[in-house]
Amino acid sequence: MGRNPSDLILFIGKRLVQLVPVLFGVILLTFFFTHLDLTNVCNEWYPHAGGATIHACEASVNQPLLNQFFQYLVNLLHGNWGSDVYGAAVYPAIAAALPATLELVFASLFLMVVVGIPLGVIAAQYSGRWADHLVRVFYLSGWATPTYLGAVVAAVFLGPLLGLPSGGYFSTRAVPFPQYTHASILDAMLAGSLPYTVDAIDHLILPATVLAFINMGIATRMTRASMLEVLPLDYVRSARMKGLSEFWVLYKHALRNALITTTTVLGITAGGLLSGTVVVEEVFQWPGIGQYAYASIGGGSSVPNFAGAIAVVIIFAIAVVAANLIADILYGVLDPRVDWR
Amino acid sequence: MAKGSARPIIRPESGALVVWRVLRSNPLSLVGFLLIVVIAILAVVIAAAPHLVVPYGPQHQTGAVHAPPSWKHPFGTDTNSYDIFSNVLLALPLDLGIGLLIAGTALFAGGFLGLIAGFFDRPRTVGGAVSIVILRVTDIFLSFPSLILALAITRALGLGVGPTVLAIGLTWWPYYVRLVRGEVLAVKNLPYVIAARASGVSEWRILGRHVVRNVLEPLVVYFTLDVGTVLVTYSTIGFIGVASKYPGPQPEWGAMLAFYQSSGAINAYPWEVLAPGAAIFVTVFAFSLLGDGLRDLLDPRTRRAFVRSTTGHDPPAESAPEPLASGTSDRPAPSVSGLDRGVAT
Amino acid sequence: MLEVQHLSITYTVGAGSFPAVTDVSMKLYPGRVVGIVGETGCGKSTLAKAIPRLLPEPPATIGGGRIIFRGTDLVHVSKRQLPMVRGTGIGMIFQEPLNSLNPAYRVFDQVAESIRIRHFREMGYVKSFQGGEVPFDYSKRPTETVSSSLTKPFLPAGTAGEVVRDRLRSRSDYRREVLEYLRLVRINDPETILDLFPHELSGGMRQRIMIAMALSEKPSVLIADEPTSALDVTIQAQVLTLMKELIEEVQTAILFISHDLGVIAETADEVGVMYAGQIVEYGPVAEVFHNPRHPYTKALLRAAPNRYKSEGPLSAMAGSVPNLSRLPTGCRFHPRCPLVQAVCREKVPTLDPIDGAPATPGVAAHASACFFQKEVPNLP
Repeated sequence: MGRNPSDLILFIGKRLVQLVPVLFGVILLTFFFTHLDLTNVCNEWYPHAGGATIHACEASVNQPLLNQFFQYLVNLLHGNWGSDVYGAAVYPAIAAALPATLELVFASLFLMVVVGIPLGVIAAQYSGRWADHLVRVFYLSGWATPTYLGAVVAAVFLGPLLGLPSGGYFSTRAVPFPQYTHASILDAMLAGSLPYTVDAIDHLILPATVLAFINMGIATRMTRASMLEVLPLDYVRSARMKGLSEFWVLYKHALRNALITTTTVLGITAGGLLSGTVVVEEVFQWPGIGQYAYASIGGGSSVPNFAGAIAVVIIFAIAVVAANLIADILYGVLDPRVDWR
Repeated sequence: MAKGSARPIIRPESGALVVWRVLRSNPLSLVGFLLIVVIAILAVVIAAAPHLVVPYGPQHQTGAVHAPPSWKHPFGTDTNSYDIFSNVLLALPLDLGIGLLIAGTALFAGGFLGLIAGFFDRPRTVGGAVSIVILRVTDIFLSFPSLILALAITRALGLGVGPTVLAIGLTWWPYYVRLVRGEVLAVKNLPYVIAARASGVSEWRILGRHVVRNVLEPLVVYFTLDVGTVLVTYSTIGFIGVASKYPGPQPEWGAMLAFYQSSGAINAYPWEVLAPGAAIFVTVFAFSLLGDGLRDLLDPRTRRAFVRSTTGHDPPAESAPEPLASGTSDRPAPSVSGLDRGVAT
Repeated sequence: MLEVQHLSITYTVGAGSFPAVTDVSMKLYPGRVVGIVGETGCGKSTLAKAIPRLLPEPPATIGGGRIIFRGTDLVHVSKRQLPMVRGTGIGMIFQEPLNSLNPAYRVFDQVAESIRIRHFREMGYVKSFQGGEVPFDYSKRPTETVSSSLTKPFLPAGTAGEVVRDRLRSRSDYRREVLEYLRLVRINDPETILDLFPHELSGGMRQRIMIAMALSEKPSVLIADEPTSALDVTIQAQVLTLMKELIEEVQTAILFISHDLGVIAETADEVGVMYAGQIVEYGPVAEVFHNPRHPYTKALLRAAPNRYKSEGPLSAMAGSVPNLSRLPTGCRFHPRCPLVQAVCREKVPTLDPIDGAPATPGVAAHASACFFQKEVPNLP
């Protein structure tokens, strides 16, 4: 028994190797699903494009599907993710949008952990009583709120009410410092500008809150369930018997063990959070991958962007896989009984 | 200790009895259940005989533009002078039907695959090979946020209700494979199943009589929650503008909301956005309330607390599969709660 | 030190209620061990957990009686004050060593936490439960570590200085003290054990650590609730030997719960025999075991395997422990009693002193709750 840090590295390495076939499958599935309807795919994807694009598209479409796939795969490995209707390359656009999305997702994850987990503890502590029912109504409302509804309500009604900006990244488009990281708060902090940092945080609050509120149920529910499982256990009783106050019994002894399962579930929420960004970023005009996905798919009145759509699906799938991997590793780190093998 | 002699034997109960016990003990679930009944009756009536409850046609010009809510127009009218209340009602059968259809199909398809993957997973047999293939494909599907993949597939198949339903359906079944396989693995090595096998009961009979019966309950509970999730996903695709067009002969909540949001002046006529939003919220909320309460009963973690609170006794310890960190491929057989799907919107 | 007076505890479950403990009284003194013995389900564990108010309320309710600790009735102490009573005031060793340690923390962290709780209370950094009497300090061991005595001259006296001094206690100070307690419970290789997680330890080892944790808080009262029952027989003997040595060493007031007559005989000074939630016989161990005055005690002794008499079959007691929801009227033992008379079915016997019992000063007199206590010695 006993675990060495070197085992952890080996453990992570093995997980990474196991991901290769999954990623290959992800690309394969995405590609074939998006090429299912072969009759007039070019007109469908490039409705407003000029003759040259349609021509090039039809030339590639006329090849056998397998050839197309391998061509796509080879291009992908060379960093060529295709280009949109206007000839703009997909990869740089995505690379620039990713940090903004990560900023948003991590901000909501932070809110989910800071608000959702204590709510779960409270619900478990008062299980079956009104506090429990109240928490349930709260997280189930989040669960039942479609992202677009939450986003629109927050942007249109809540924003003006709270005096928070409900659109964009900064208050001005022309920010007087270079955006190295493309994550607003980080950039403003790197530039050493306090007003801009505050401005960036202000702009982040509403979209992150909406995203967190809608996905909160998973964290709260899981925390509540695991706490209910842990609370009657002997070691919680012995912690109580040590003379610890109820706060420490709950948050140091019980929650520490309940968190092990909650962490795994938080990994699963990555999919929900990322899906949520499509609508949230569009409504809040957040310049991230979600907004890019919305435009690529042809949401609203935008021109669809075939290559962009495929790329976004693949990126999101990779993100979900990565999130699950991280949750897996955290599980092993949090639970000393798990062997790193 | 002192209660030992008075401990009752806790027998497995029939599904209906369990539902009744949850409803009685949890006021929230009861509210959800009643709401679902009302919504379902309403949906059937609207689908069969719309003139009974729906005051106007979907594109009936009432003559009043942007009228505020009144007795004549409970949710007001919009910029085209269409009655919003009628449109919200007319969207109910479609949205609810799609929720049931997709979740139902996923239940049967995913459930069937999950049964195979869970029950016939002995290595070096045909069944074992098949179950490995099923699991790998499931894993890949589970890597996608369903909404995004469904969006891309819809785009490739062409716009409209049919392609959207097909697209969501294609991405929806893997959760059920996971759920059913996990339950099957937990059930199939229980002493009474082994005893049945030892006494010569055929594998198919064991599958039909014991395993399916035990899997059914969590499946139905998960289905209850899932109808709402499908509904949200579908209406989100509607909101993005890929599934349905609004205004049109067949209204849809997501598309309605998108239309009213983009047609401007939300602050002047907030009810236009709030009406379809409230409709979808109430529908999904009803399913969530019921599903969440039911799930409490099936989750080994909360079940103990539930049984304790209603009967005062600790139920016998369950042999719930211990979650362990392992590869994405053979992750712990998830319990109902372990399968929380990120609300895919 | 601690006095239990007429304590009654009821479990309310659904519509029914079960009197788990009825009218139990006892007194604990420093340096003396009171044993409680009885069959499974007789309420002895409920009693043990009720004293530090550890029972979940509901379903349990304390129906009546008082638990006087340091001059205060614990039955009426608020939930916020309870933590102050536990640990340093009343310590407890549980039956289930396997699950009583938190699986997520190393041994060091868990023992150090107990020590930290005590330190904070000793320093007055955290309020501790005072009650009416001055807390009894049994320890002869030095509580000061090297570093705290070194810093003493440089710091001002008074509470602020004490707090600073405790803040200065480094991890290595705690480590030293934890090691001290691990050695106290006869752990051979404390340095290695320190950094292990509970799941890496054997049951006996875990119970030693539980004992170390309880002792490190220097409780005035220690409750041991079947500390050896869940262990293997060989480990049981070891832990029991350890307990006996520690009882000599720490001179605290101890309540020792066991279903094992032999264990009680070896450890306790006084013993209470429990049946169906009541104490039916109470007195000095030697008195009770050699001269039982209640038919139940007699039967219990007869049923216990005797190491000196290997011949003959073991005698089992007729009947079984009554269902707590349908207790017999009168004396609760009467359906199984060989001396039963009409009066036993109607009247409840009280715990009355035995006539002519040798009075030892400071020790409770031998008493039995039987109308026919004089006839018990004549039973086979």
